[in-house]
Amino acid sequence: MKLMTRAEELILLAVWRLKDNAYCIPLRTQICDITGEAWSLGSIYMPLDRLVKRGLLDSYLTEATPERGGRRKRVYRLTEEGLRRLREMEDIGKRMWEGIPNLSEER
Amino acid sequence: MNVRGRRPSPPRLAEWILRRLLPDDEENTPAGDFEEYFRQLAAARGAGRSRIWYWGQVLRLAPARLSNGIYWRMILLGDSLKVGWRILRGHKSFAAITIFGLAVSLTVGTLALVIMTHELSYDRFHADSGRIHRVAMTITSTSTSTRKATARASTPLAPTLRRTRPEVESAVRFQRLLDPLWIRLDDKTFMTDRVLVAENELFDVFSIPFVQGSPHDALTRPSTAVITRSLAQKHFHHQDPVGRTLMVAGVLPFEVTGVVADPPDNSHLKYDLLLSLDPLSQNWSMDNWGWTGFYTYVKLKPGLDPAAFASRIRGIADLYVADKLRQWGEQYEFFLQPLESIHLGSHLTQEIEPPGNALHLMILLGATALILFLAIVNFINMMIARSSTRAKEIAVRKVVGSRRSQLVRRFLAETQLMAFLALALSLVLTAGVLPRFAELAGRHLSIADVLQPGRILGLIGLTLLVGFAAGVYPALYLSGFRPVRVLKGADRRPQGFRLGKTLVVVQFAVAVIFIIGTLVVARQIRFMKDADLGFDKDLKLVVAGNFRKNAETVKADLLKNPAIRGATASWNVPGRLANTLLAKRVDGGSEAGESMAFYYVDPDFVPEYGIRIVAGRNFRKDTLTDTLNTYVINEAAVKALGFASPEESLGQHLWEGGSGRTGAIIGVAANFHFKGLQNVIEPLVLQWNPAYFTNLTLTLAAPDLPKTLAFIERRWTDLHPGQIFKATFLDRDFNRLYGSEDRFFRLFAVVVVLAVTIAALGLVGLSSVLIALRTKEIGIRKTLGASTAKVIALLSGDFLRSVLWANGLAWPVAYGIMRAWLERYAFRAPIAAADFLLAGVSTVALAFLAVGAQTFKAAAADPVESIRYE
Repeated sequence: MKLMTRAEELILLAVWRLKDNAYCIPLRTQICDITGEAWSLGSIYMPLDRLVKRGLLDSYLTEATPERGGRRKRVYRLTEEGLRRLREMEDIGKRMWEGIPNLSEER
Repeated sequence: MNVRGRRPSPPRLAEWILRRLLPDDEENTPAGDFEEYFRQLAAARGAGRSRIWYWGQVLRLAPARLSNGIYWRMILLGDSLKVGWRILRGHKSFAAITIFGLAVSLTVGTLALVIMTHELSYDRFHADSGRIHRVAMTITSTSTSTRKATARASTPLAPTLRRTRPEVESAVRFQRLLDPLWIRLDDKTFMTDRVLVAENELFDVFSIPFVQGSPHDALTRPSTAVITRSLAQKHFHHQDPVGRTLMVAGVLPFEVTGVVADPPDNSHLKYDLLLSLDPLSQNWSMDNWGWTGFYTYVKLKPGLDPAAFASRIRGIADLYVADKLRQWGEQYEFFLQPLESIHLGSHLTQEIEPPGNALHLMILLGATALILFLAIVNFINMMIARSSTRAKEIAVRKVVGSRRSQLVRRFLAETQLMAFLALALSLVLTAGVLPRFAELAGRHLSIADVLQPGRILGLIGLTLLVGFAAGVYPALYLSGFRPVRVLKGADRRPQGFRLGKTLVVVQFAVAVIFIIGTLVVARQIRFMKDADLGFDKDLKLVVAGNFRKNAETVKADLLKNPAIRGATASWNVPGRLANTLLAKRVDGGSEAGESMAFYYVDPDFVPEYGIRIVAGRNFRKDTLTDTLNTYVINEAAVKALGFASPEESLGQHLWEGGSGRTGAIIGVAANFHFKGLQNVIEPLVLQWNPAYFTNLTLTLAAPDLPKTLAFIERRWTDLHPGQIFKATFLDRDFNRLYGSEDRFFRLFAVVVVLAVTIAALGLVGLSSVLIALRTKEIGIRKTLGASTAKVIALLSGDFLRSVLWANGLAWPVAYGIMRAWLERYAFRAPIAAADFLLAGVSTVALAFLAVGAQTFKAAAADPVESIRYE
C-alpha cells in the first residue's frame, strides 16, 4: 500500500471537514488558513485529481451561482475507501508519535 | 466595495483564453473556481491585484496545455497518415492517377516559380539597384510628329549630367560593339562577342566585383581593358592576365588591367570584355548630341525622387544644341527607366539584349495556374466518385463518436499526404526536365536554383495550398455522410454529381483553349517564317571579314566556283541591327528630318537579295560617281520624307547626319521586311559605301553545301591569316528574330500536352469509377434487351456531351485571347476556323479514347456477372 502525500492527506481531511461545501475555493481557503502558507489553485487541483483517480474521492455538480459567472461547482466527498485510508493515516500518525515526549517541552 | 451592477469580473480576453485552455469539462467548473476566487481576491485586495493574478494563472497554464494539445494532435495526425498510406496502398491505380496528376502539375508549378523568380530578379543584385536608372530618349520629328524611342541616348549626355546635375552620384556611358571583335594575344587569335567600350564610372554605377585589379582606375588610362574571369581562364589558362596586351582587331594594343567576375545570368548587361573609351573614341564625335550611340546609366543620390529628376533633365539637350535641333527638325526628350524594370518592362529599339517578355511570362503563369486547377479538379472528382468506398469507414467513425471537424481534419491530412508524395515525385521530375526547360526558356537554370531555402519554402507553401484546395471539398462532402443511412445500406451512389460534370466541362474547356492557342501560335510562326519578306533569304551565306578594299576581287574569285551563284559585299544584312542616322531633304521643300536605318551596300546587293526597284535605278558598277553620293531609298522612306510618289523623290537631294554628306536619290526600292514581321517596315536608305564592307553574302547552289563551305573557308583564310572564319546562313540568322516566339511556342506546346494529359487522366479515373457504380444497372438493362451498342452509347454519351459543351464554352474565349495576342504583330496570320475544329475533334476523340475501353468492357460484360456484382 502506497502512502499518500502530506498534501493529499490535508486535502482529504479538509474535504471531510467541509462536507457539502467541499469544492475548490473553500478547500484552498481552509488549507491556507491552517498551514499559514499560500496555496495556489493548481496545487489544490492536482492532488484532488489524483485522489479522484485513485477512488478516494468522488464528486458531484451543484446548481450554478452568479458569483461563479453562472457556472456550477464540483463538490467533492469522501468515498468509503477514502474514509478508510484517512483512518489508516490517523493510525499511522498516532503510532509514529507514540513514545515521543512532548516536543515543545524538549530542550 | 461591491457597488451594485458594477461587480468586478475577470478580464474578458484572459477568460476567453482560459476557457480554451482548460480541460474539456462540460460544465467548465474550474473556470468557475477561478472566477469565484477572482471575486474574493478583488473584494479583499482590489480589482487590479486580482486581475494580475487572473492573467498570471492563465499565462502559467498556457505552455503546458498547448504542448499537450499539440502532442495529441500529432498522434492523431500520425494515425490519419498511417490510415491514408494504407488506403493508397490498397488502391494503387487510384493512388497512381491522383498522385501522378498532382506531381505533374506541381512540376509545372515549380518550373513557373523558378522562371518567375529568375525573371523578376533581373539586375537586383547591384548594390543600390533601386537608385540606378537608364536614361533613354525619344526623338520626335517636328514636321511629321513621328516619335522614336531608343534605349541609347545622346553621346555627351553622361558627362553633362556628371558635371551639371548635383542629384547624380555617378553616371556612365558605354557602347556595345555590334559585331564580334577579333583579338590577337601573342600568336593566337580569338573572337569575342560581347564587348563594351566604357568609361571607368561603369564600376561606380554598377556593382562589378573585381578578382584582380581595382574598380577605381581599371579603365581610366587610355588603351586599357578589363576581362571577365571566364575569358581569362579560356585564353590565359594559368597565366596572370594583368599587364598582358590584347591586340584588338589585330592592330590596337590594350593592356589588361583587371579581371572581373562574369555577369550573372540575371543581368541585362552582359559582357566578356570591357575596353576604355580612348583611343577608340578618337575617331568618334563624342560631343555630338545628334549621335545617339551610347547607353547612359545614372545612379542618383539616396532619397531623391526620380520623377523630379526626370522632369529636370527631360529637355536638357535644348540647353546645349537648341539651334541644331531646330535645324534638324527634331526634338529630344530624355526619360528614366528604373534598372530593375528594364528586363521585363522596356521594349525600346536598340536594347542591349532581347528583353524578357512579360506577356509570355503572364501566359505561362496563367497556364500553370490552370494546370494546377485541372489537377485539383481531378483530385476532387476522384475523391467524390470513390466516396462509396469510404462511406462505411466514415459511418463507423461517426458512430463511435468522431466529430465532423475531426473527420475533416483526417481527410485533409490524407490529402496533404498525397500532395507531399506528389511533391517528392515532382522534384524528381523537375530534376529531369529542368535542363530542357532552361534551354527552351533561354536561361541558365539548374536544379540548384530550385533547391534554395526560399524556393523550397515556396514549394512547400504551394503544395499545402494545392493539398488544401483539393482536399477541402471532398473532406466536407465525405464527413457529411449520415451514418444511419450508410450502415443500413441505402443508395451508395454519390449524390450531387452535377459538380463533377461541371468540373469535367471546365477541364476540357481549358484543354481546348490550350490546343487552339498552340495552333494559332504555330500558324503565326509559320506565317512569319514563310511569308514573302520582299527579299530572298534562302541559301544565303553571310561571311564576316574585312572586305573594305578588295570586295570586288574577292567576289570575282569566289564566283569562279560554279557552286557560288552570286556575291555581294555590305555592312548590313537583313535581320541584324542597322545603325540609324538622321536624314533630311535639302530641296527646301520642308524642314523634315527623320531617323532612318542606313545600309551600306554594293551595287550587287539589290539584285542578289531580289529586292524590287519600283522607280529610278539601282547603283551602277560602272558609274563610280554612284559611290557615296547617291541613295536608293525604300518606299517607307519616300513617305517619311514627304514625297507624294516614288517618282517625285528621284533626283532630289538628301542630307545625312552621320557624315554630313549630301547626295541624290537615284532609285526607290520596294519595301522589304528587313527587321522581321513583328515590326512595321521602317524608312531605309541604301548607300554604296565600301568603307564599311565587313560582310559578304554568297548565294549558294543547293547540292554539296559542305564542299562549298570548305572552299569558301579556304579562300577566306588566305585573305585573313590567323583569324577565325565565321559564317551563318541568313535564313537561320533571320529566323532567330522569331526565337522568342519559337521558344515560347515549344514551351507552350509542352504545357498543352501536360494539360491535355491531366484532363484525359481525370476522365479515365472518373469514368472508371462511375461505370463501376453502374455495373448493376447495365446488367439489368441488358437482361431487359438493350444491345451492347446501345449501352455504349448511353455510357459514353454523357462524357461526349460534356466535351461538346466544353468546346462551345472554350471557342469564344480562345478567340478573344488569341486575337489579343496577335495584336502585337504588325503582320499577322488570320485566325483559322480549322484550328478550332481540329481542337474540337481531337478533344472528342481523346474523350472517347479515355472512356472507350471501360465503356466497352462494361457494356460487353455478361449481365449475369454484372447483376451478381457487389
